[in-house]
Amino acid sequence: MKYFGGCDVGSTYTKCVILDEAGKMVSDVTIRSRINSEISAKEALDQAVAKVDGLSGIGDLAYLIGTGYGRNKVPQAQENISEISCHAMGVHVVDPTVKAIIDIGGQDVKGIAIDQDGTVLNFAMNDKCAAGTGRFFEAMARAFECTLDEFSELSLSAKNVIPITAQCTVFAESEVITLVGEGKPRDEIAAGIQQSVAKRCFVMAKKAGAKDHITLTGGCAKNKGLKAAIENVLRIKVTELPVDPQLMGALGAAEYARQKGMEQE
Amino acid sequence: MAYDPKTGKGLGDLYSAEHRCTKRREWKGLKDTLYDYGCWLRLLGMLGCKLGPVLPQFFRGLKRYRWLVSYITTPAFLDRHTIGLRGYELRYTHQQFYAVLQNSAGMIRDLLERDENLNPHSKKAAELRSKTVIFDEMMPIQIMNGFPTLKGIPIQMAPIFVVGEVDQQANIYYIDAIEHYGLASDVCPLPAAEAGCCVVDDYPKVGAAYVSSSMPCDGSVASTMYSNRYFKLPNYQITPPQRFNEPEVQEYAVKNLWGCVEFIEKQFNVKFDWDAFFEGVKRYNKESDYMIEKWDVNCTDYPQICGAALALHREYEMQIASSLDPKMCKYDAKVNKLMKKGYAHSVETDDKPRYRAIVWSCPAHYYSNFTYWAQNCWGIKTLVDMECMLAYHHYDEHDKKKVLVDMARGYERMTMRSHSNGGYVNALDECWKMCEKFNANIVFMYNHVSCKNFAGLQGLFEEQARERGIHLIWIEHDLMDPRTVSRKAMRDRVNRYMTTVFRAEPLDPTLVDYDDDLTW
Repeated sequence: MKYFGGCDVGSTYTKCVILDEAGKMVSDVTIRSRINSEISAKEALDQAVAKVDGLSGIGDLAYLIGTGYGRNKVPQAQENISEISCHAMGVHVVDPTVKAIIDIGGQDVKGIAIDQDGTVLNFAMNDKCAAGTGRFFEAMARAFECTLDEFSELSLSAKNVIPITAQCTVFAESEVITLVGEGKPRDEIAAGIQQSVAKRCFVMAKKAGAKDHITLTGGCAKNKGLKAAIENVLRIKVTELPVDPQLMGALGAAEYARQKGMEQE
Repeated sequence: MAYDPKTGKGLGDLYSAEHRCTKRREWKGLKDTLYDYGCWLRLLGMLGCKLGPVLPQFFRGLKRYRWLVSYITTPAFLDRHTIGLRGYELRYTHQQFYAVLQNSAGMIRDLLERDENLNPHSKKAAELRSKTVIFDEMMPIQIMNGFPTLKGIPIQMAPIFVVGEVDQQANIYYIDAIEHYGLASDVCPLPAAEAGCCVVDDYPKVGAAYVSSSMPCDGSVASTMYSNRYFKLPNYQITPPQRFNEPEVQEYAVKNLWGCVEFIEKQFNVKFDWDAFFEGVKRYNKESDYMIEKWDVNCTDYPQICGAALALHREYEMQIASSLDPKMCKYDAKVNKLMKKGYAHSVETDDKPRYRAIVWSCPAHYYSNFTYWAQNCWGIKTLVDMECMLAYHHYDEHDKKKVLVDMARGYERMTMRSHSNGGYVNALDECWKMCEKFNANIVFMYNHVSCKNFAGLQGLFEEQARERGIHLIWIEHDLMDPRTVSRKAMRDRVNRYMTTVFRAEPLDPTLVDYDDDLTW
């Protein structure tokens, strides 16, 4: 049996997926990214490989593709592919009906439109500003003195939304601290935060050409409050993926690796 | 093809992060290298001839004017625009740029020999100054065809506009100067640099009257007001109508234009010479015909004069040389003759471009050779550029009233006005028309981050491009300031699109990622 690997070295998390010849996911790993992309990739790959019987090291993978912010640093990778293509392919593999994606990563937001075969039709991205990214949520959770998981569910109980006017992460954080200090309901402030990010996503989704339904990928896709806010702002259904949405980039890379590895045969 | 798959060496290897110039000149094969070298010598010879008579002023100018120093890099500017080119395309590009550069050199000579700062006690310089009208950029300097005894000089062209294309670092000093003076840093860097040049007193003093304008945006209006105070010269303001597609505005435009003629007549006590003016009009019409021929060829499967060779030349020819330089027509005739031969050769060898693109919105001054990079790296041929799609209608060659109407219409459709003013149809619908006409399915959509003119239309562009199956590649830039968006960041946009959406392989992988932040 041959195995194929995809390693998505993101700015905050490094993800690794291994597929077998039939395309079945046999191993996956998510670790916090280290300062050095190469070390992060090696660590994630080592852990993923260790979970598969019949693989003793990274070199045993028949084909390995790197993606994400540190894609050039994946050790022993045969090639690297942009995370936009990999997210598109990853989503296509798990749900071929999805035609538009909002990928909210640690340091950027992307809107991606895909074709019937998982090819990227168009994309739009914000990679210049931390507003609306995973970093933004980390800063907000810090302001609330809670974990990301707690923060993601906080807004679900809100009856009203207190709008956050600042676009910038730094200014938004001080605005939130002021609102908390004024004694405003925490869930309503959280709903305002989720809504401000949803509006950013709206722009990206529209630019990429989202129409009837979309899906979320990246770490922030696990944020339930954000999902609800996006459905509310975009007025389109957000499709839940059957696989961890944070793994889509690595899964797409592994699928590309599988296709290329099988072609080589 | 400049990339050698055996050695893995390509054009990107010519650049180094630490140096302002490339490591060496490109080897283009014996025949093309010899031609290239010959053109390089011809350029140096021309610069010597044009600037030789004002050599003392030139050396004094190097000490006095920061912008003048950047012109020493002119041969590197030409190299940058011919890198990777071969055969006929190399020849067209050299000819087109030579025409532009010989006129620019003449303009610099005109500045140096008149300048009061460099010739404070010269009677000859004072005499020349007394017969010179300075113009804001994009003003109808063509009017000067009717004043053969006077000289018109677009004053910002040499210190700001052209030099920003020659050296990407050239405008930074002036932008910083005006920002230190108090201007907000999100203003368009073109008027900012022009005002900055006033702040540090870096304009030559060359004229006796000033024709200024309301240019297409608020930033340039503010800059003009500032320049007015700086030059302290008798001034006439031309304000071309913004909604220029409306027929009612033409009467005002003609009156405004004729007012300029009367202003010059009064200031210099001379009469407008209609015969001389009509001679200039004939040249302008000829130049437009040559341009239309080039466009027509680029609409076919075998485009010839593409990228900056087409765009910069047209922009320069209409905006600066403005039919005042008979040599431009001569070079046009030569190039178009060569173009026909090149076209026949392309048909014979079935030499079609890999991808066909047009450029829309305002391109980055500091990266005027961007389209050649796209051609060398990805095989994307840029068939036409929005900024060169200025007016191309014929002016009447006999009727005094009609020619003024034609000329007013021409200047309403000047650079930065023709598509960003006059209603959204000029920006939006025109883009799709051009895609259809030039059979292009890629649009390099420049997103000038300090300009709001096109910003409101982004959503419509996206939506309509999708409906038409056109690939819009958004490329951010900051016009004259490479520190905001570097050349590399501009290239990354195309790289990402080509690898992600087209799944294309670069023709020259060494051009995908290289460092040229310091280069001229």
